[in-house]
Amino acid sequence: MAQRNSTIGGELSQTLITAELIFSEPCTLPANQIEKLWQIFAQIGEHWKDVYNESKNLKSAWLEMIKAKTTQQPSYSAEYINAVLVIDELTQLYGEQEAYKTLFFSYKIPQSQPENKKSQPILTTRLAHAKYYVIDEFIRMQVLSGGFKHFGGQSNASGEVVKVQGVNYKGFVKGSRYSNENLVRTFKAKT
Amino acid sequence: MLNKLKEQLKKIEHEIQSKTHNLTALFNFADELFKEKLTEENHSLNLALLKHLLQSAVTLEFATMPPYLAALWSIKDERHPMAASLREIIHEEMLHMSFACNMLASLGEAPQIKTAVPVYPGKLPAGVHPDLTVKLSGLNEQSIIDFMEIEMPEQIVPISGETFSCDHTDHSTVGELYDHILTLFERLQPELSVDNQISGPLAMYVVDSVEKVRYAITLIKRQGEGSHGNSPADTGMDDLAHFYRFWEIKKRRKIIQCPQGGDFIFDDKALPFPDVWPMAEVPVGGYQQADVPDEAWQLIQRFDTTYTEMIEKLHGAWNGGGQGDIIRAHELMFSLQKFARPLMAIPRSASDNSTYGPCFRQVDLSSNTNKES
Amino acid sequence: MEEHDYIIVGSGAAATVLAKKILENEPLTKLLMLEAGDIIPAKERRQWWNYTTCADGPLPYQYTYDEKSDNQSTIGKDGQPTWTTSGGRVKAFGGSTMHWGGWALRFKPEDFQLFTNTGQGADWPIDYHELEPYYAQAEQYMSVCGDETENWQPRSTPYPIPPFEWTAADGEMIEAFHALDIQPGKMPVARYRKCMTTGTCKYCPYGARFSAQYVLQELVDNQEFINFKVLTQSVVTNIISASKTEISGVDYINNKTNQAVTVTAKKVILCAGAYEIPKLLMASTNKYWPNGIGNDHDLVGRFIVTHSMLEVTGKAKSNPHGLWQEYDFPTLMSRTYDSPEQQKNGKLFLFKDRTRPKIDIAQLMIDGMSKIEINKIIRGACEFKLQAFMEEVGQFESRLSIGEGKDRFGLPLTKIDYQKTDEDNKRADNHLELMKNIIEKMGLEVVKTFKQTPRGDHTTGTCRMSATAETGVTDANLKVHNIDNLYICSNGVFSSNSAVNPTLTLTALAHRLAEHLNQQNEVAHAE
Repeated sequence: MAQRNSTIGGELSQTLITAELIFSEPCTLPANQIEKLWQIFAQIGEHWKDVYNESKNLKSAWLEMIKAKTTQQPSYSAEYINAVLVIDELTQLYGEQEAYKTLFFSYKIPQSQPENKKSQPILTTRLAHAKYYVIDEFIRMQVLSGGFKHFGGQSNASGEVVKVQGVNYKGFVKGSRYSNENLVRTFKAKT
Repeated sequence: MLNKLKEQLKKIEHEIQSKTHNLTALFNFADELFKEKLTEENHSLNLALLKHLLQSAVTLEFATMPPYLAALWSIKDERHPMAASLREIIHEEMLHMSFACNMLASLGEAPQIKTAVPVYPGKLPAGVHPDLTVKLSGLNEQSIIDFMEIEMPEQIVPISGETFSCDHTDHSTVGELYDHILTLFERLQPELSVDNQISGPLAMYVVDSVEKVRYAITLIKRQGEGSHGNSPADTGMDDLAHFYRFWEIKKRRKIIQCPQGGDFIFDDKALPFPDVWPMAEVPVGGYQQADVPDEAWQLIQRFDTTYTEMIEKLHGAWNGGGQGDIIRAHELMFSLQKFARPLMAIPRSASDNSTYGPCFRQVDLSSNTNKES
Repeated sequence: MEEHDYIIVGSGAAATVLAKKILENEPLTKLLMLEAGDIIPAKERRQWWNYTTCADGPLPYQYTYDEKSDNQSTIGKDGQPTWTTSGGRVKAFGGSTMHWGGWALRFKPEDFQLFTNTGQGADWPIDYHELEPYYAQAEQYMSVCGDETENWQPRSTPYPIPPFEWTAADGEMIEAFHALDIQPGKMPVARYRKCMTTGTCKYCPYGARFSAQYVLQELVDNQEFINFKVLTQSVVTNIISASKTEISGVDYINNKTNQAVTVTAKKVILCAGAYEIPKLLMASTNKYWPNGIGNDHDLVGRFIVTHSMLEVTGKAKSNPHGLWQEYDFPTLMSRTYDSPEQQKNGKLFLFKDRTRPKIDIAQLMIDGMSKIEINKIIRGACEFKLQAFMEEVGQFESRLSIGEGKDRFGLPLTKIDYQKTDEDNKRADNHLELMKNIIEKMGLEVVKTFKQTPRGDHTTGTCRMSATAETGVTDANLKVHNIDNLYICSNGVFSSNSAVNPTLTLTALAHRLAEHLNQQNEVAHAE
């Protein structure tokens, strides 16, 4: 069962920290950390059923993003390590699937002015950091790299997209305008 | 038997090192290997052969691009249908190369690109079409015939009852190379890693299973040669196999399919041949500074520098550099023509009707210094 | 002190064309370019990932924007500034084409004769046909793609590249245009051929959207141009007069060392934009020019005008085809109301907002919506938006002058006295009615209309071209009246603003000026 905000996670997830990016020096993450982060990324596809078979197609771009964000300032290395620790704790508490479900669908980062569009997120727990700096950014990356194609198309009775529709999306590298594929969904005049 | 095969492989690897190997030797080795069941002892030989074949594929796919690019850039009107057709061929060759690199990377082996760049005029790598000397020139009758030979399928579908032949008789083909590659993947059923593979607009997907390898190879063969003896248009009449696209250019006619019977014929309507720069064949070793006017030398030098940088990035993409390197490689690739096209407009002499063209040479990048501001 | 052949102040679109054409003509030219801003790396991977994946999507050049708190324009009756500057320009090596949309449209013949045709504004001292060959050069230079068969104006050459086709999301608006006898067109955009349609034009990872920065970097890297130098973080503070008719050089502050430096040149070209050039002229007072260089007739900084965007938003009850933004530039536009007939009532350039329907799938996922919920939203109610630039006429009373204080680059702040005229307001209202009509023709419900406060992106008129010194600041060859060796190449020289973006016209003027200077140079050598 999905957990409510105030009870989500344990001692680690609810640890109070400052809102800014957790400081770390630029460095290369160890392979096992990257593999754990990859599992987090792959779960996005699993839970939204987009790119679930094709996550692997995104790995080269994902690795490049991870490298860019960890080996240059401001480095995300500590945020990524934090996210892995938070997921580990949530997994211990709720089981793997429930942990991700909670993080993706139930947990909401507290807001300074919840009813106002200009509200700012309150990033004072490790859990909030994991969501804001890692999960949310992985979601954006996944959508712009191809995840968008699995939304908006024709769906079956249970809501699964059976015919992909989207051709292009902001951030998606479709190809040169001299490609023989359509770069976008093009206008067709009514005859 | 195992020892004999090991010796054979050693010899082949020595030839690879000295760049004197050919596909025939690799295919013969494969035939010997395939006589034996796959065992723990000969597993490494099978895997080594697969890697060598894949590296040959990478080098071959790369090798076709410079002559095709030179021909493309010689077409003055970039919107001409033949320019569009050539451009699509080049994109597909890029795709084929990327697939070959991905397949090699899936086995944990880094593709070699910068150490295996062909020189022109010269033979294709790995002894493919050994009688053919590939040159850099503008689009002309001879270059079209050469391109058709490069892409020649094992069985040619007649068009309007015509077939194609050329003077050269030894035609070990790229198609056979991929057939052997697929056989080995299916034989070995290796576990494939996606970690160093690249996907994106010029490499549609990563290969994480033998099934994906099969899809990729089927696509490569269909795009290059057409399906085996059946159709030049497996990927659509707007997307003919490369061999047949070049044939259209040669005949100045589109290939269409008869509504009844399904035979392929050349359309009656003539396709105008584009206005092209009369780019001369680049001489052996390329142009030297002492022999060309300053204006041409500036462009030749900048082309070669950009080309070398592009190769570095392309190589780097599958050797740890990843997506960032391939994006930079694309950008450099696209910028080559701003040197190539003006170069093709410069006459070689008052009496000669021909013009200069890019040499596609690798140069020493360490001598380049940028001015600071 | 070494005398340069040219000093160019600024390093944006105009400066880059001039440097390129001058150096290609004579590679050993001693050309010094002074830029107040710094170099901001382009195509940098971390920056691109920041832009596309971080919550606020920061762009690396945003720190150069004018601060909102620096705004010193007139306050209107509603208590808000009548003119805004923040976000309108980039102060860096390569200038504002670092962040522009790349829309590259020619002015039309009637734009050059605004006064003759309407009794308002001013005529240019050159006409369209004189500039036409340079438009062709500019389009080639920036790789503009467009459809010449639309025949919006006479042209001698086709576009270098075919246009980007209309998207599916343009469909309803195209049909509405047809129904109202409005000709739909394809937006001409300055895209290099390597556009990979990432939709992140504001920081293109391939360098595909034209940016002067790329061209300028190539010039800097060219080993042939050994006497070409670009100094960044160098703020020009004064233009030095040797006599009434001759400039000897400029003073600048090297911000890296806080040192004041004087440099001399045979010719000085001001390419620092429609804000900084008039301020620099006004600040350059001396015994020959007590009101500032070129300002004897108090015209520097006057007639400031820009495009105010008009918007009408329509709501559709559903989005059955699940359309969303695909390109990051508009593909649909119309110049039907950008016509000689419309000129006396104020021209209007229409285009579809590229960002609508706005579906942010990632944000919906971040908000915890399931796939079913997201698909429902995608196919649910959505908005389409029609936007337009309306032509306004520069007024004598509208003026730019030197403000109080300096910005972080050491450039003086900008004061803008500006009020929309009643005529402008009336025209805007009429235009909005037309636009509402189009939205309703699409079967949509109008939910919002909006008149943007003028923002300085398309500022023109502050050093306008004219036949005489009494009526403008620069002559037909962009030379400051009565000065032999000072030129201005900027949107500021435009005598009218038309209804379309200025950059292509600026680039054409730069090509023309470069040719003029090169010809002068050849004559001088021959002598």
